[in-house]
Amino acid sequence: MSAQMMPHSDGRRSRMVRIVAGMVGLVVGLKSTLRAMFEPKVTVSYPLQKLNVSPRWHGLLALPIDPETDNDKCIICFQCERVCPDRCIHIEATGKAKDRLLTRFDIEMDKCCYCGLCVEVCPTEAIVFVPHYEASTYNRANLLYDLDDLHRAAPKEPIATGVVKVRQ
Amino acid sequence: MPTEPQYVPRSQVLPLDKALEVIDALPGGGVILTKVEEVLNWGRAASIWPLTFGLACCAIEMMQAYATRFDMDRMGIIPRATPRQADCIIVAGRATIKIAPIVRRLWEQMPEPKYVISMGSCATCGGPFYYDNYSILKGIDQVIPVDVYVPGCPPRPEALIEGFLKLQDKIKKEPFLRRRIARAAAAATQA
Amino acid sequence: MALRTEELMLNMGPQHPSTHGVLRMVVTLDGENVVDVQPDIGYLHSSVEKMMENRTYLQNIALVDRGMDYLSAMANEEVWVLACERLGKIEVPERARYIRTIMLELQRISSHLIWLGTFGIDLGAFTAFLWAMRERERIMDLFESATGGRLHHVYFRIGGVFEDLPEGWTDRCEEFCDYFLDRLPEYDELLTGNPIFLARTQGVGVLPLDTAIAMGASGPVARASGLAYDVRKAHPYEVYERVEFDIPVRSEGDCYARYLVRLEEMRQSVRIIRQCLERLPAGEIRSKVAVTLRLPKGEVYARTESPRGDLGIYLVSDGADRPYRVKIRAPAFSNLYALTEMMRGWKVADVIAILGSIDIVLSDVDR
Repeated sequence: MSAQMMPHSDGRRSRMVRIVAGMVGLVVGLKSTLRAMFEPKVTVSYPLQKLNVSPRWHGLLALPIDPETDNDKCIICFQCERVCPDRCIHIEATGKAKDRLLTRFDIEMDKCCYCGLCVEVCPTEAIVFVPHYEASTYNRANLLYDLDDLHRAAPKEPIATGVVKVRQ
Repeated sequence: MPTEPQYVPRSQVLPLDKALEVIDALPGGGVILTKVEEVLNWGRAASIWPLTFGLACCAIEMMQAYATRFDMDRMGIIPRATPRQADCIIVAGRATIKIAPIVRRLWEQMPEPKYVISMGSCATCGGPFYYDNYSILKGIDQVIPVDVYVPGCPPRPEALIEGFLKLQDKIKKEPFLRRRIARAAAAATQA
Repeated sequence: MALRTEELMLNMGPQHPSTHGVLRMVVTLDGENVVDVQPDIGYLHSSVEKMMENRTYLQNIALVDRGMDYLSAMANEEVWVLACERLGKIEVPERARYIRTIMLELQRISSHLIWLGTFGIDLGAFTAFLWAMRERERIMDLFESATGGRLHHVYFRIGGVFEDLPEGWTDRCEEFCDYFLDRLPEYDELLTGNPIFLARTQGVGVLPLDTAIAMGASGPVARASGLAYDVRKAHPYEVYERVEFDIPVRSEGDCYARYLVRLEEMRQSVRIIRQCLERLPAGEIRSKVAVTLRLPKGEVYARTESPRGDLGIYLVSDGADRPYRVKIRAPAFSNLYALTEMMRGWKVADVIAILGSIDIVLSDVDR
């Protein structure tokens, strides 16, 4: 216990040796810092330059419009609603069998955990991830995405292009 | 015998409750006040100092945002370790019922004007821990008022920076001086 | 008359820049010396074990990412998936096993890098933090292109992995291995040989071997005290029995030894990744498993070596589509037990160094 009480006392090396060792250590450290100065820059100036988001990135969810039918591909099978671990998808429909009509498709984006299970189980690829992540708002109610929002969120073209592309 | 200095209430020295009326009545007074406010807001928006307060997973993405690749120092966002020096608190991660009073106390310790960014699903509304759970707070806005909500689980560092840009927009539009004078006037009349 | 001093109670946390989360430590001080430390936990208790009883086996994969140790999400997925596969006797294709091993080792490197950066900050070396994060971003890019998530990748599935590796991923991973081995000597320059760093870590916070075993410490903390135990060697899972790697063991048991063990572990991880990439077979990545999987009645204990130590899951099933009871054996929680023993007798400035060296994650402690 008493030996532990004085952990920093170092009787074997003189003060001078320790000072010299400290200076050498400092120089070695500064040398590597200096070397890093001349290496290529890794910082991305975010609002001006954007990183290329991977196509598999779990961004926001969307229901893309199918150009053939001019509607989304949802067949109202309720699989995504059932598999969602956060229970943040709410679907309602009217009619029976083939005449079923989607009346409500809400995703609470604030509750969503972006796990991708809904995208995985969807039999028609109606619900997809879009490589889009800028959705911060002042009001939490804006994060409830209804059918129109989900249609609109689907991009016509890829949103992030090029590793570093300065916005005009 | 020296005379004791007479105590004069501040409201008599500075008739604050009349200040706004006087400024607005002056020719160009309102415009000047707005311009001064704009300059001050420009400075405030460019130097938001958040409190380093990480709760859970989102704190790791927050660290990434401070670190090499996204480097929030570019925008004058420098983390401070004490709430007394901070303008903004990023609630990064899920808040339990046990930590909620501490978050509230930290927010109370921060000087006015202060802002709150709710980062990630858990801080916004409980997120994955909303159902079947007895210990997680269902959203940090039950405890402190939130200015910007950043969705994501966890949000990318870029998304957090975008949230900061939104906060900057909000700060730039604030009638900061006007509100401050009005509040001081209300306090003076009450005293 | 002798000078009488009174003990001082110092409250560290829950908001403290160096507590690595929301840990509160009630430190009893006698002058500068630490007499006792009482960690106060539970500030991040998210009742994961209870929540898992209400979610299906597939949904729980998304939950263990977040609810358990968030710095090593893959390791959590691995232990959960392993428990389910052992109970249900589900076969995993060979390619999926290799992919899992690669991902687990990448996750180990990224977790150790976070630890290295924050440990550097605790001891006043800010450059180490910036550089560790720079390397970590490369791993994040690899993760993002393969799994779609940066921190939480719901990638492992019961009976395989979700998607195959994208094109060119293995080349990029090889490239990262070369790059990372080039970078590691820089940390030697910055920290290992740095006399200031040595003075703050060498001989500080010694955990003797018998105490480490008695307190249930595992992982790098136990290995730095001289316990040559690694679940990857003792109870091999995935393809760890087929790859060659060494377990770094030190006998000193101080903060410096823990630092060296983790640094060496990163080198060994790169070695494992390279061997796996070489032998990566072609073929299936996922065997057919129903979305609403029902496991047979029974119980199982699965254990893996997470970056923090021996991570285990005890799973009881009653034949329904969701578990009857789940118990998580968290390595960071057991390592926290050893904290009091390590800190007793040291100066108050060493508290942060010791706390940083055991690498706790509060989400793993509280669950």
